[in-house]
Amino acid sequence: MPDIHYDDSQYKVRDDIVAAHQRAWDRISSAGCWLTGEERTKVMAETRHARTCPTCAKVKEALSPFTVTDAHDAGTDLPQNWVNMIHLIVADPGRLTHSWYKKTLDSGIPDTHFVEIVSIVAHTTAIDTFARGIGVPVRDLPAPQTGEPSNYRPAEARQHQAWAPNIAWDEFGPNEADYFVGPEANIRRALTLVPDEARGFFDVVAAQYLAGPQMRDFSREFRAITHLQIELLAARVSALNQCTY
Amino acid sequence: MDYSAIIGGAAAGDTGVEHGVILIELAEAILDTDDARLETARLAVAERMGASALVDSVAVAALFNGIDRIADATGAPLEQTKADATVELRSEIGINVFGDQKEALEAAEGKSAAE
Repeated sequence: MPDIHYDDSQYKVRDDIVAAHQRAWDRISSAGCWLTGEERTKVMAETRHARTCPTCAKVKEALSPFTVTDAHDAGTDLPQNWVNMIHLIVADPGRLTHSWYKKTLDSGIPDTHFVEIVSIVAHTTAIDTFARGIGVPVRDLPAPQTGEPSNYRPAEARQHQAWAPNIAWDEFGPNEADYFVGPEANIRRALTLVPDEARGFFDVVAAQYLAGPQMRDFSREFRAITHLQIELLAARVSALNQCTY
Repeated sequence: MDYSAIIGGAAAGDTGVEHGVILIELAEAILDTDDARLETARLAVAERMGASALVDSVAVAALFNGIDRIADATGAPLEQTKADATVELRSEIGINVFGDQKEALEAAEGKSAAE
């Protein structure tokens, strides 16, 4: 398993966070459902590179992110349409539109690949931001592992109100019965076109935020900060990202 | 709880949540590029709330910096029950402006595609 730790931090990091990050690094560097391990680690690298892209800086300042037509500064040899997609999700997530989603698919990125790339961008963002927050450099990217994508697309996934197809809370099949537990939440459905990505991301959620039952149990606190303090932090970050979910 | 700090940030003042002001500042500093600001915010939380609270606070802020991108890139809608239950809250916080802005961008894109 790839080694990721925070021994260089002056603040002790909970063991369950370290373990979740190690599992994430292992998953992302392995072949996914649609991308190889090499492609997935390049998506991680491109996510990091986007943070210093001059075109992304222009996008953030523009009245509309879609009026900036300069090429993004690619840090990998990923296809340009992948680079464009990754950079915009990193730079300006709050102003992504359904039209952007459709154009991205029209550029040649299948919906399955789209969801898998979104997941890797989100994993990398959450884990890199954690490192920045506690005052250590971003962790070394994992070396890509060999293997072929499974090409698994759940038969139950279909188009609903969200842009990307997903599995409805009451329509999951036997392969996904382990995942669809607890109260319905659209954010938990968001990645279910690629179920392993949904499972993986919510493994990180349970460590960095709270596990499902803990979110709803106000009879006790599970962290060194209260439920209210947790939600205050979450709400402020989401507001800064202009996220309305 | 005073919700104005969710949109207004640290400048909006006391949130009514214990240590709310330094937590808001930490959340902002983590997403900012100013390393000195982040160091100051980090020390404030560590000194007043403890190292474990700092790590847990950073973990939450960082997680939402990732999960927001999932919601926004996949177009995940707010559940109708939550939307119905938070009409006043969302108005009070002022986050409806983000949805309005997105609708305007969508309309502009549609217009430009038609031309």
